[in-house]
Amino acid sequence: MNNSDKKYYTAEELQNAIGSFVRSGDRIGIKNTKEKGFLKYRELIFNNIAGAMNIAFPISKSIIPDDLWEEMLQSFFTNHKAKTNFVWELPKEFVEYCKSEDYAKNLKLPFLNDLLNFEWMEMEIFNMKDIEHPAFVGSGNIETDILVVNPEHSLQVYDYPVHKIDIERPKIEKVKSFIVSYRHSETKDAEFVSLSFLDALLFEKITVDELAIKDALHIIEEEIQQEIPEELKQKSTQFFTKLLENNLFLGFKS
Amino acid sequence: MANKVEIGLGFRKEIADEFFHNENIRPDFVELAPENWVDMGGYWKQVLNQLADKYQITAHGLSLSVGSYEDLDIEFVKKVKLFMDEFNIQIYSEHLSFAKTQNAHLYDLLPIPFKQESIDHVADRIKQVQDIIQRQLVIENVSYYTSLEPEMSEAEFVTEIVEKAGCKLLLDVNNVYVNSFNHNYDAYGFIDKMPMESVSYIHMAGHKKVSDDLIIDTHGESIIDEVYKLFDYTTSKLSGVPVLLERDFNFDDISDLQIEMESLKKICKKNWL
Repeated sequence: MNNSDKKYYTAEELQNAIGSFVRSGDRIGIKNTKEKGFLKYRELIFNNIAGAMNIAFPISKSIIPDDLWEEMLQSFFTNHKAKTNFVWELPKEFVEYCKSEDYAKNLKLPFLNDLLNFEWMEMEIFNMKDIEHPAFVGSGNIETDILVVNPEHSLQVYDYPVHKIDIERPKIEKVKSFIVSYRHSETKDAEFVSLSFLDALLFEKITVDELAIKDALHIIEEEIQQEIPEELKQKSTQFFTKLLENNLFLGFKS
Repeated sequence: MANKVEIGLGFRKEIADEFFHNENIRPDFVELAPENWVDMGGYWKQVLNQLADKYQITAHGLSLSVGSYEDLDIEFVKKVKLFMDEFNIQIYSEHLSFAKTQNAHLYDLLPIPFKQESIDHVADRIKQVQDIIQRQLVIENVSYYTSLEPEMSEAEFVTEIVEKAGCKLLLDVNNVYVNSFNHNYDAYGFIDKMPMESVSYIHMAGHKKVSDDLIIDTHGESIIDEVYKLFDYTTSKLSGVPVLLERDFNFDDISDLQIEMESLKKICKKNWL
């Protein structure tokens, strides 16, 4: 640093200058300081943030060319004011940042927002605070008794079936997709399941309106003013039986 | 933990199993960062419960940012307090640094300018924290790679803050060594200037020399002999404070950590018992 370097008068000014430098890389002049030291902070902080994103988004990272992924991370690092105290939650802010920057359009990856969110949901579900399980009984009639959902779940609606993405050929057609991510109450693993449109409607009737499958199907028929074929009803009932076995549902309302 | 020789080990998720199943890893207590555990559920909450059953835990924060000019994150401090109560944590230590500017978290520990105005500002914030957590905060001397228009020495800065805030001092001996090398001062002289009556906790770790004039406080290498010597000197001036071995990565040979803990214990026993 030379004699023309700016003199910062207050500690707050100095700290803001350092913060700006480590995030933007724009050179600042502060008297009696080691430039190498500033650069080291910038490197350490960027690596920390990039590491957290690389862990959270392995599929997105593998699809996006390395130089573009690096650019996205640099842009996030420079322009985004990170809000959370918890580094593990920062990827959520990255998802929002990518949406606001419209990377999906710019990188010609229209499914990107959905994919980033899908990857984030796995991490969020795995780590999120415990939610107390409601009372339930283990046995019941799958059609006529009310299923009790595992409260540690999240239903997401995507424009693209990103859960099926092939990283070697990441082009996928636009198809509305309904994904429930949930934390298995025994293994504590984050799981996900894809629902058909009818099953997503059923899921909402069962979990929000607390209806039994048979009643929920009847209500849906009234709402769509159309009879649901018996074969489809049977298929859905079998599917929800499987969801019960797989712990998305805990049991039946007592 | 006073009047005893207790050597702890930083608890890291990468080596979590070792703390439960490896008989060669036997820390007297463990330390964790609240930021990695507060509000966490599921698998890691189960692990945390098991950890609290087996070990005494200390909390070593990363994001309190006592040097920042944004309002103190009161909600976060309250969460830490609840976390400490839930897991019977007695010690909450934090860094004498800032980790947030212009409302942006930086997720690293940057040096506060050694200025009188910083002392006043930081001491007030520490007092605010102490009011919420209802105990003394233990503040750590940090490693730093550049100073910022200093008006005083680091030793004067640290000492005045501890005195003015009425907090305790976490003396990181490796940081003293790293800073003495990077900023060309006498590490032993620095230790002599520390308010030893306020030291309630010690950190030890490895570092990496990356160039002829720069050492990085990596927490990824073994402790070098010079730092052991400085630790010996430091502990000769103290008695019965807990000592924590920090290791953040390079876990290839986990038994090395037990060897390091035993080396630290041997020095403490020599000086304290």
